Amino acid sequence: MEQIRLGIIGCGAITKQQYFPILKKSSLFKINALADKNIAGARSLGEGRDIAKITDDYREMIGHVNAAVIAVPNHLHASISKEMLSNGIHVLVEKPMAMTAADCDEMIELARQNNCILTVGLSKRFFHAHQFVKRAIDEGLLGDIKSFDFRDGTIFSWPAASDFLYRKEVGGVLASTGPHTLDLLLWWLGDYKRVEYYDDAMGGVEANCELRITMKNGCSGIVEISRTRALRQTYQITGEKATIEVGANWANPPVILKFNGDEAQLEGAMAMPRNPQKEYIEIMRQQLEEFAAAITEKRKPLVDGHEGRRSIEFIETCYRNRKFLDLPWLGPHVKEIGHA
Amino acid sequence: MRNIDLSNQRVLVTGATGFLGSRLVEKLIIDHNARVRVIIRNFNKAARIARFGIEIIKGDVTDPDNVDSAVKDCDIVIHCAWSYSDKHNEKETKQSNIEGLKNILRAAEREKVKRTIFVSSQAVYPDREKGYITEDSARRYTGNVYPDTKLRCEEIVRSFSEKGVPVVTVQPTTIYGPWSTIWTVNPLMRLKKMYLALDDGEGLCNAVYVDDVVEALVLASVKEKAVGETFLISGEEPARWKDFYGAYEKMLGVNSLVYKDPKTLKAHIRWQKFFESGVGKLLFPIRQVLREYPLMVKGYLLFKTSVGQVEIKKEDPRKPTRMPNEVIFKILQAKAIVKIDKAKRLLDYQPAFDFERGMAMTETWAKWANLL
Repeated sequence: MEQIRLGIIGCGAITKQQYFPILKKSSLFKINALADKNIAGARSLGEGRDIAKITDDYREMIGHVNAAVIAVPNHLHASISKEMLSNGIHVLVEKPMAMTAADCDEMIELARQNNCILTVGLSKRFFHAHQFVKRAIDEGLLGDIKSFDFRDGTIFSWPAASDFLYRKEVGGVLASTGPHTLDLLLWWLGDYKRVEYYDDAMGGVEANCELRITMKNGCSGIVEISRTRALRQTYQITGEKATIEVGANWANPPVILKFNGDEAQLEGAMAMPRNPQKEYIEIMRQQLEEFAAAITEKRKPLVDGHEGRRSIEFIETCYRNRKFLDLPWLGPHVKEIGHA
Repeated sequence: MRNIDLSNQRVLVTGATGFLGSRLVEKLIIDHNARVRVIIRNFNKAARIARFGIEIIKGDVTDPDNVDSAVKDCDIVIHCAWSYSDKHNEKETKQSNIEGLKNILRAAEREKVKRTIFVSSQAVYPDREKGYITEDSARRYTGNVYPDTKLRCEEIVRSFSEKGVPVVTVQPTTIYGPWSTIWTVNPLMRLKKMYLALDDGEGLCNAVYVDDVVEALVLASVKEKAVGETFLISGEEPARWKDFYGAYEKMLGVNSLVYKDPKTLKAHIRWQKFFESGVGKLLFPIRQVLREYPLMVKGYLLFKTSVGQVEIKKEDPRKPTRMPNEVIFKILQAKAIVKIDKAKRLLDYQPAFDFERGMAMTETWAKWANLL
């Protein structure tokens, strides 16, 4: 089978650590172009390899590739995706798919018009454990869902090369981690009905946020996301029959299943000998394989534009209705400043 | 302390990703309306201060060019940056702390910055067994890298002060409160999973809540009488170490403080030093085995039952005991009280948090930070 000619746009940490190491050995893809504003970074990555185009202008790869991975700063996802899709190039765009639902809609429409695959890097959907939770809920193992409690927080350690993650146009922890967390919530439990949103930004970008949510199916709960605190890092969902809890961040996270009223619980990591998902990179590989399969088979990918859009619309609603988190140790004058 | 309005002042904060620097940035903006600029090495740690609309310059205080561009057009410079060393890089760290300070002071002199504040430490006063510590107490080199480097830096500050550069040295004591790694986060994490051995716990901890230190830094930046002076900054009254750690024990709802005969602690320190010495290093594997066991408790049974009373009977043998090292032991035994009269007189400094209030606020934060 012919390899798909692929370009990578953005040669930052995720490309260096994940996409490039996978793709350089891939039988499905052939890396034909690398683009980064920092051309030296792109060159050093591609050094010694047969790559047709290494450029600081991603537009130059048009004509050299059939598909693109877009891993640039978040606020550029939409514009670059649209340009690629308009030129008939299939797109895997990192999360968040875009900063606004309106941009998502345009991307979806362009993909449709140009017969392109558009998929979003919501890699957590590929976790066996997270797929198991989806199945457990859909099959009624938990009964009707009553409540949920999601705590997703680590002390930030992403090897950011620049301050882009702190720029206002990029948004804070809700915009960067939120797409993963909220995507899982919406995927597992359906659409939301109401949300109260609180965060700690004061003229910059939030490092902590809290969402109090009621879902359309009637259940309610809390989502807390942080980049300055080590939170529990699990998602807990309680139904009328049972509670399920799954790890948020590490590869192959443990799942705990407990029937209400029972003391004993089932606890452990998912087992799948053919595909053990021991490292995060294996999940990223599956995501790329799914991208390739959708292109070759001309079918809808697991996470298409419509799916990617759901969490973006949710995040927009949150930011529109933001209130200040109650943090008493900041002192009495915080409220006067608010979000400045 | 809202009456100090810095809305027309550009303030450079170095060390702004650290726990004191971050709180300083927060308060400069929330309470004093200042225009804040920071120079940071590492973006990973900047999430807390990126919540504000501040000017972030990527750079290192040891690079004179970085410092020049950071100091340019600033009215006030507050130098909180400090590199901590481990045993392997003591010399380099000392040098980089000194170089960093010199770069800041040289740039401040050239740019005619109105005020530069150097954050030193109470640690420059080595005599702390009894009596009072004031800014007139003896400061001298002890051979320990941290206090010695701070002292060397204070001398550099003085030499610039003598040239007419408006500088102030602030010497905080034991700073606790939200995000304090050494005096809040670590004690909570340790007390959660191990015993912490104290002597009788009657020694005095000159504790100060982080917000009070920040206010002192702001006062030092604006008060005319502060120029060229040095100020000790502590809480109104010291706490006993048993009460200091006891406050964390209470937050956690654990019973993890154990009190040991000073002779036992000293014996342990001797062993510790032996294991760090040339011969002792050869015995490293043995030490590791002992560590695997509830830390040194079992080591005592084997080696030192004759020295002092080893109170291991009431301790759960599965939970390790953390013994104080030489430096901590001295701190535990200290009875000297830090006087803050000079700061009160010249800066109008008045601590807003007594120990109870400071710890209550710390508890509110620690709960939110998922530490309890």
